[in-house]
Parts: sequence; structure tokens; C-alpha cells
Amino acid sequence: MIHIVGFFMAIFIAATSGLGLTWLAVNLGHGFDQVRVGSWSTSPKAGTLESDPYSKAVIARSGEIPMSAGEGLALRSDRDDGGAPLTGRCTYVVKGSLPPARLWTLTAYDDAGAFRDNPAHRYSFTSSEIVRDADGSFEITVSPEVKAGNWLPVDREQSLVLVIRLYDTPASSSVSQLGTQMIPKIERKACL
Amino acid sequence: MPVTRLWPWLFAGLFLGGIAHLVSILILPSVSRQDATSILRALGPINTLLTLPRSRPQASVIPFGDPNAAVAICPFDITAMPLRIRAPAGDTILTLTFMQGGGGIFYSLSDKANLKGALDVRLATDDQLQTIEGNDPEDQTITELRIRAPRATGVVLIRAISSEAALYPDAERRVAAASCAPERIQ
Repeated sequence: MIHIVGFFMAIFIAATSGLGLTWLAVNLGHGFDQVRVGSWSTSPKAGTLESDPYSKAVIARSGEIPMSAGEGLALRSDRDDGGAPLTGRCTYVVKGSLPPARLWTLTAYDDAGAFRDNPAHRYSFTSSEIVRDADGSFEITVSPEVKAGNWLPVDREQSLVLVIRLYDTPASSSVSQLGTQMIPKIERKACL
Repeated sequence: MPVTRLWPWLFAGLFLGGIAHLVSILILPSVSRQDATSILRALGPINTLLTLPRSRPQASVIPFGDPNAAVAICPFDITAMPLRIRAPAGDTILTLTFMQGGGGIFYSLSDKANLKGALDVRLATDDQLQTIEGNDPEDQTITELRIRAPRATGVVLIRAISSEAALYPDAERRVAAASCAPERIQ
């Protein structure tokens, strides 16, 4: 009798711990090659055949097409510089500069990777569209309320993920040398 | 005490759980139908260029896509013969992403890698590449880019990135002007 109980207990533990770990790894995790720089992270190998099994499993479930080295480098953030999760309720100033690239874009998504409609129909800024300071640095205000300058509107009800894509950049082959001074800060301002 | 006799079963359960975890992580990419290659291959016919509609709020085919990108796809099957992908020269940034069935990007490039201003790519299996190289005339330079596909099926993504919102129609024209078609080895 004790062996029958034990057997079913073992099967139950195996199924819940094993598949539970897989669920957690795929839904909340990322691959092992993720590099963090300031509030941003990048996974240069994500989506490629060289990526690790965890990264492959995450990508296979999410349906994303990560940017690979032949195209450039993508930086993603869901946290501000203070470590708090980004939300559509707050105003953020993304400011600083970026490594050289032929073109870069900054896009606001919700956490499912979709962008939300807004009256300005703007979901993204490109490096050609922004107004810069004399030293080449820029400031983009991400906010649910109308702002002067480079304003990227978001829905106040949305979760928020920011993605910067650097197309044709030498930085894609030297990710480990990316320093926090080379990428923008994400400063939180007022919240609704 | 009978409870202490359950300890070996507990450890056996945890051990099996570890194995179940590793096995499920490893097989997930090959059984998933939610990966980008599976989603895109279901959209259009094989070895034909299909331009995708512009991503709109909450109506994107692929999550976390760049809204500045005009996208065309070419689901391929090169079992019978190689695939020729051509994209004319232009001002807009153009990228090609090669993804294999079962998931995984096996090659990507931008139009920086162009030859004479245009992109001319031949996608072939290992065997086909050997035949192609065997047929190469010795006194001629090769002006095409040859890419080896690890598997015979997959999808090629052709993306043009508009540098300004007003230039998006140019990006759309750029991907629509690309071509992808099977081509017999000469």
C-alpha cells in the first residue's frame, strides 16, 4: 500500500515540479545570453540556432522574431532607472545617446508585444524624426498626456515595454562593451 | 514509520521532475505551433512572395514587430530546387531574415551586404550547393550570395525600414519589388 501511495506521489511531484519549472522558465524567463546594461537588456543570440535551449523555448512560445546580428541590435526595457516596472500611467523621459547606427527606432509596446492606438497614431520614433540637442543627444517623453518636443504617446491603461532597434550597428558585434553612458536613461516623472 | 518510507519516492519524483523539465524545454521548439516560422508559413503559398499588411494597433501578425518596417514573407520549400531571392537597390534599409522550420534564424543580413546595389541571394541545401559550385565557370566571379539552409523548409522575411513615417510607402514599394522563386540549377 505504501509503495502505491509513494509511486503516485512520485509521479505527481515529477509532473508538477518538472512541467511547472518549464512553464515558469518559458513564461517568465529569458535565455542565458541576456546582457543587462542600465535599465536595458539585450540578447544578441536570441532566435538564432546558436541560442541556448531556454532561449529557444521562450522564443518558440512567444512567436517573436528577435533581431539578429546581421540586422543590428535590439535593446528592451520594462523598468525605469529606479527599478520600478514601466506603466502607461507614468511619464518617462528617455534621454541620452546611442551607439552609431544607420537608423534606430524606439517603439512602445504592451507586455504582449502589441502597440496601443492613440489619437496621434504614433507608436514609434526613428532617429531621423527626433529633434536633438546640439551635442547630438536626445530626449523622448513617453507619456499618456500631450507633451512638447519628442512625445511618444501611450495608453494609460497599458503595461509598457520599450524597445530600441539599432539597424546596421557595429555595436551588435561588441555587446559586452556597451556601457551605461552609451545608452539612454529612463527617468520616471509624474504618474496619474 | 511508514512516512519515512516515502522519502525515496519523494526523491525519485524530484529526479524525474528534473528530467521532465529538461526534456520538455528541449522538445518545445519542435512541437510549438506558436513560433514565428509556423505562424508565417500558414499565411501564404510556398515559394511565393507575400507582402503583409502594415502592423496596426493590436493587429500585428508577430508580437514586438517594428511598426516602421514594411514586411514581405516567402515561405519556402527547397527540396526540389534552390530558391532565388532578389531585392533591388534603394535608399531604405532592407533586411533579409532566414528562418528554418521548427524555429530558429539561420542567417540574416542587411542591404549593406549588397552586390552592385541589389541583393541577389541563392538559398540552397548542402547537396544543391555542391552541385552549384561544381558548375561554376572558373574564370567568372560570383555575384550572388549563397546561403546554405540547414533544413529544406522555412520562411524568408524581407523587411524595409522607413526612416520617417511619411516614407513608409517607399518601404512598402521596396519590399513589393523583391522577388522569390524556385530556380533550377543550370
